[in-house]
Amino acid sequence: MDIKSIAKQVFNNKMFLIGMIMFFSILTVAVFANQVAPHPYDTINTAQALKPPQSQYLFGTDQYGRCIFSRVVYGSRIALKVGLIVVIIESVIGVVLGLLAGYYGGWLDRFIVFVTDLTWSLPPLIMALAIVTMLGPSLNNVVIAIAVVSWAQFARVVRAKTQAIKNMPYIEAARAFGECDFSILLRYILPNILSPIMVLVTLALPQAILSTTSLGFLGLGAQRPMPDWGLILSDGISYMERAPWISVFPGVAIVLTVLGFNLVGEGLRDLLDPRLKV
Amino acid sequence: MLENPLLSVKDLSISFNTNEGKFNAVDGVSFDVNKGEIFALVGESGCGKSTTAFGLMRLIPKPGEISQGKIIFDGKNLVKLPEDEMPQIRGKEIGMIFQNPLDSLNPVYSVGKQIYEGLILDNIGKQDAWKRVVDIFNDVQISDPKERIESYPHELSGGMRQRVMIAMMLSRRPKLLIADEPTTALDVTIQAQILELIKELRDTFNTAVLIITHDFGVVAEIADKVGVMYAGKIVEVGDVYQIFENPLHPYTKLLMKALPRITKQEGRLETISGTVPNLVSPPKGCRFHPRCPMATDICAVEAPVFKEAEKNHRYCCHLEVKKRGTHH
Repeated sequence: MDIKSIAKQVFNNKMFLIGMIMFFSILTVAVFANQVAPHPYDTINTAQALKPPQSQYLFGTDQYGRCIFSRVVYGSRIALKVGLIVVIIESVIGVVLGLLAGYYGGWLDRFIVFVTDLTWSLPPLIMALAIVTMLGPSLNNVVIAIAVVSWAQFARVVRAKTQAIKNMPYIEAARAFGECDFSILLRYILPNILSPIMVLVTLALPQAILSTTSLGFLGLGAQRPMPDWGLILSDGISYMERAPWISVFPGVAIVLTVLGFNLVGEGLRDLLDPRLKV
Repeated sequence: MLENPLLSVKDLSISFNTNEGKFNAVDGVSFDVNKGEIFALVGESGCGKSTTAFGLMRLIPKPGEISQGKIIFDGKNLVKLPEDEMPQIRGKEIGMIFQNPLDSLNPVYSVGKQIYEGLILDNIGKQDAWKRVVDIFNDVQISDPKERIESYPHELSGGMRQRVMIAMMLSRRPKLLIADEPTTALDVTIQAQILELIKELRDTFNTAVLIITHDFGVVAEIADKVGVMYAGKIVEVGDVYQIFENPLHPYTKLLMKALPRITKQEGRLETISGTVPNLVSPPKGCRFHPRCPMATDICAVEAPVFKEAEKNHRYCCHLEVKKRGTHH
């Protein structure tokens, strides 16, 4: 497929395009937070407390006079960083287990499927809560907790795809050509299931961000004065009537980020699905 | 034969343990393939000819396993070889091409890259490997090899893909090439080209070829020696001329009659009545007797043994040999 037809497909998929624009805006904001934010995220200025949105404070200020806009901008770094690390960990766990289960079958498959089903059947947020409570509240522990409870979907999809691919004649041909199992898994099966993995990654990222901010909201994630979106939102709850902007803006940031990633994920699924190509 | 054969299969049985019971898909098969020789294994679908081929590579799908016999290849008994030494045999010593060239290549790599990766397994330098890829593409008569190595499998036609497959399997210079119905999925003109190519490559590299087919037309075109298989057993072996001029086993005779001929257009094509027996409970005595037009009482009771009709020509039937030429 040449670049022209790819570009055409991308431009025909409006939702994907919107998602990509949102994704890159958020990425730009996170990377250039120092330039974008007008104030440091933790400067306390009680004289300016609870100011509504205005030209100096775009999203208003909180009870300590901190600039909400700056806090939301810096918060995007936390959200993206945590989301990315979580997705990397869970996709590595899930892909490795899924490949092994799907390729080798037998008792290994039954064991991995059992563990996957077990993980799948537990409510993820409550499990993450339990793990964080056990390990103590911190951003690192949030990463561990979310990754540990959410790799199951990767394992499932990868296992199913591996089972389908391993019976293809070219796998048999590869074996007849003298390729070992490791090389078949790495060079034959993995590249052929990369597109569903890509889709899963883009769909898992917003999930991870949602879980992070939820744990932050409950006070179990990043600790004050870190500008975690969930934390800002929860701090603003007590001022909801007098200063709704404290909670509304980080909330909007969460919604836009998750929406953007979801649109990219769904768009990618359509683009990579050969059956939908006309 | 003074020289030891390159491949000597002795009394090979491959059994499958299924829910319906244990059966031997390949049952006591023996044959020899010499260096530079093309040996054709012929038979109906389900007679165990492909299973034999996969058995030689030790790639029998589960729940199948080699239950007895020897596969002596180049002095080594492959049946006894540890599994972790098989990858050194596969591809390097014995190459295999498959029935379905359309799906036999990895769709995510260019065809040149796939062959290149295989060559790297043999510790060849990068530039030498690429040169070898181009050379081997020339050998299998792919035009514009320098451009073709960049192509992906889906960009090539079926015949082209089979050529790439052959190139891939020949790239490591195996001593034996197993071709499992290499032309079945291709149309007739391409079929002839591919067979011609296999023959030429045999002449150039002195590679032995074991070709698996159900088509006596393919056998006539390419083979030096023929083994006819029925229900897991070899029923007749011989040089291609012996088999074609003087088929001795009734099954071989019937298979010949089922071959369309241009010379004698006499009515309908003959078929062999009945089907291949269920191997879980094979017929007693000779396995072919329920379908055999010449069957006698003894056939249902006693399994026949191999008899030598002439040099290199053996058959497995209770019938006595008629003098050569009298059976027409």
